[in-house]
Amino acid sequence: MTALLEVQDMSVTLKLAEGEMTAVQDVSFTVDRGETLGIVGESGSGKSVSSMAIMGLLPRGTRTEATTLRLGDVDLLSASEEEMARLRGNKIAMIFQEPMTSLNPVYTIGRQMTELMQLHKSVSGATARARAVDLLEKVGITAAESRLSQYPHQLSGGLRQRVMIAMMLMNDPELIIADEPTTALDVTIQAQILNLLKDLQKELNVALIIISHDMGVVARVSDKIAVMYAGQVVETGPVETVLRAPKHPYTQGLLESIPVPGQIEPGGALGSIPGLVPSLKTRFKCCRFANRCLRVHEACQQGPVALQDAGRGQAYRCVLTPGTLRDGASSLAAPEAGDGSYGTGINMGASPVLQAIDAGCTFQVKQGMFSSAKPLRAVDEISLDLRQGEVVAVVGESGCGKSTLARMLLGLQEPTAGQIMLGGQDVAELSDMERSRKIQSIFQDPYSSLNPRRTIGEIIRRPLHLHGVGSLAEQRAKVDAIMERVGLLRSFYHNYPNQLSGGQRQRVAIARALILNPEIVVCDEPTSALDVSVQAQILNLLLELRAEMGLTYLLITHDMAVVEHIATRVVVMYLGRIVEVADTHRLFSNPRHPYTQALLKSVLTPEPGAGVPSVDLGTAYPNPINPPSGCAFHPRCEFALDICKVKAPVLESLSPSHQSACHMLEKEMV
Amino acid sequence: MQTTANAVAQMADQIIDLTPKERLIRKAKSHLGFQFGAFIVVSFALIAIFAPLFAPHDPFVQDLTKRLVPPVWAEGSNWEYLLGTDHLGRDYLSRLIYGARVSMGVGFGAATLGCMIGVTIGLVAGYLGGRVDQAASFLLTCQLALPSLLLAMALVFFVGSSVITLIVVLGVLHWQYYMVVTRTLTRQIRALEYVSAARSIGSNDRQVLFYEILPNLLNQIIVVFSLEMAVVIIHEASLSFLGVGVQPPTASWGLMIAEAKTMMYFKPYLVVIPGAALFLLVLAVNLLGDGIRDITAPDSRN
Repeated sequence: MTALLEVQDMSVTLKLAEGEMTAVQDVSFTVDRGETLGIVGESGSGKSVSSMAIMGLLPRGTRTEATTLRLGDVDLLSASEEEMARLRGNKIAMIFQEPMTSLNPVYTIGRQMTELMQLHKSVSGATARARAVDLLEKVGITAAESRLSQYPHQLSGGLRQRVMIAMMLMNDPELIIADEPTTALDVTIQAQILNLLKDLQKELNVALIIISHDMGVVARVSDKIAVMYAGQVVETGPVETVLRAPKHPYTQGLLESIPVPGQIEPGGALGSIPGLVPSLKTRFKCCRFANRCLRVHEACQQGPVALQDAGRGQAYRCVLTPGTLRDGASSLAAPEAGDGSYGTGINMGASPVLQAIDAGCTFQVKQGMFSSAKPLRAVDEISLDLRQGEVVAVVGESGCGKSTLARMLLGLQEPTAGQIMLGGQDVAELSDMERSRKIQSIFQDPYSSLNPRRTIGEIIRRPLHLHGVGSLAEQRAKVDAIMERVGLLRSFYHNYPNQLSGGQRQRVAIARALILNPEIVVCDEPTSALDVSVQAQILNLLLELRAEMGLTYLLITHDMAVVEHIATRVVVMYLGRIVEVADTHRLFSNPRHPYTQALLKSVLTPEPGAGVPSVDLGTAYPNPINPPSGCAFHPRCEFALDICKVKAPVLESLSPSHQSACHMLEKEMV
Repeated sequence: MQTTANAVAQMADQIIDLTPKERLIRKAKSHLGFQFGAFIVVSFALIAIFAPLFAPHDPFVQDLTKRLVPPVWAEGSNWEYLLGTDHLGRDYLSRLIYGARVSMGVGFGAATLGCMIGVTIGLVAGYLGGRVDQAASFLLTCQLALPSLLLAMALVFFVGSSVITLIVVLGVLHWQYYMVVTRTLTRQIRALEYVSAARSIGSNDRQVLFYEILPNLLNQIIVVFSLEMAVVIIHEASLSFLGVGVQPPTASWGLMIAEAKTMMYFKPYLVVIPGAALFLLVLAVNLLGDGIRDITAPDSRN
């Protein structure tokens, strides 16, 4: 029996103003009913273009060539636009990354769902509605009947993605393509959605293609995996084989870039792939990975490389023979006999360099033009000490107030209650100049944190200029020195930010933050906008700089793997409050708060076949304008007691370095 | 770390290293609209500034014996008067050249004044937000509700007509578009991380406004400037045509059209020549504005 979807030697050429660009070349894969193919790759690897080519959704003027491109018995290559339109939403369904933009905001959910069905099948409105209700229930939406008359904006992100999935199932598709289906969602919701997709796929026996940059997601849900790089599949095979015994140096490098607990000493250098993902506009003559490969040799330069069979369904695109390849299973250098020194040597008795004392921030939010403003407690009476040399991570889902906290600590947002003390002085009393010498920040999005109108040199020199440090020549010498330190070429001095890649821009942001020799650096999601291999480079750089300059970091992030790797202490926030604080090691080995436990459970390490953990946290993160009574977490907590609904728990010390706010723990201690 | 630096070095070979200036020149060379616009605007400006050198005759000397001499391409023309003469026997080319002074002076002056008013209000309103923003928006609504040409007529009539009056009145009445554009963009940019970054390295409000935000508005301001300059030039012509602008015997293109209106059917060149000059200038200013935007836009600096 032949597979449901067969793609053989597919190439996609896009027409651009500058000429033609081959975005995808010689891509082959098959997916059968009940099977899941995971396509993983960094930005610009051609993974989304491949899926769009299958759907026939590429812009006009695009050329798709293949020896075979077939779904069931339909040849997708020769199908007319009309035939393709009949397939889309009917036999092939696609789930996009951003549920807010893929649902039409002006129509109700019911209308969008029934319309899709009636477009392809002649069924009555009542039948379509009945099916919509059925499917909404199937994807775990309560009160499905009443949801039909709701608009997309009335639902949370997780719910919208569920609706999207239900909608895609309306016509019993044979193939579902999910393009980064959980990237825009919080981790706890991500686990739920992936579980849902997996269960539905088994039940309905459909073929599923999951496209993601996240190795963890792909590893947990796929049966087969295809690793893409610069428009080509560089390695493919059963997920178990590829991840446990990767053959291609890129796959190996990618896996080493991800901090995985137990495989790497916290604070140690991550294996990283040097350099950048090449632009697809490059005309490749030889192996596309050659310029970043640590095992490059002459044979790599001699023309394109073909896929080699490695047995057991595994194939890789490298000139090296299995014998000369590094064995993938032990590809990670076993953690060098770690002395466990990371995070020690911090004097917890020393006076804090940065301190929040019952700091709170309340915004007045107007919901309508005529309604009166309601208070939104973004940060609620938080106390936090940072000591010299610490790396304190603040974690929590979006909306928990971690970014507001960071802005308060930076002095960019005035606290409406409490105090922020910087080196023993109230930040509110410090001048901009005094403050900025001590505390600096690195922002999340390197594409918006650099002024597009200023050259790299001007951006890095600006703090020196503002503070009047030295003469122009001295300033330039300093800029040169720091650029070299963070791994930027001197020749970038006159370049504009848009000529640099994301990783390079983040290096510029780091250089700007460090040029004044601050004591504390606040990093707000410093790597979440970067590719995995580049993320490892930046994390390594941050760790090196910390050791060299004795920096103290406050790290704001949602990525628990990064936290476990570089933080010495972790603060877990929920709805503006701290629910748990502990040393990293202690928190990860013995989380006490149910929310922390759920967060840690939701982390997807790239462990093939381990499946997606089920996290039962209810569906929605509460709206911070109407926080739940008592413990804000109680509606989602599986252990909630009666007292949780009325009384908010306070932080209790479980040990000198571990505090948690939960009524259950209070009981235990009594 | 070492390998990373090497790899960065490797990639950099692919980036053509041009200084910002070289890049601008390269782009300007490939932009036809910009070249055409710049050529016309610069030539008109030079002609206006050095009018006495270019004008073959005194534009004010009347010679009734040589009334209505047609331009050289028509029958009965005279090579001494390339573009002919008007109903008072004044050389039309000289009047056109001197008229450029008024059109360009008023256009540039009033557009600059409007720009300063509008950009200042827009920056402050967009950056501070809240009540200041509400007040500025109310001011804008009031201004938009006024019929600007009528108001300009009334004001000029009231104050007394001169080139300076024209510049001030037209400038004060043409700030709305600068303000709308500046305010919207400032609000967008204010929320970007590079503004937060600037504040965290110690910049104060003034430094944020002038060093971080304003340079990013320049493109759009230049485009609005070119559009507004064209509008103001036409408004000046309209006012002069209606008799409240520049007063005779001063030469202005609008006034020239006004003076020729009674003879439009018999001597069409009297209207067509200043009209064509007006058209060419407005077109060139617009092309120049678009060109500057395209060339300096950092998005296309790749």
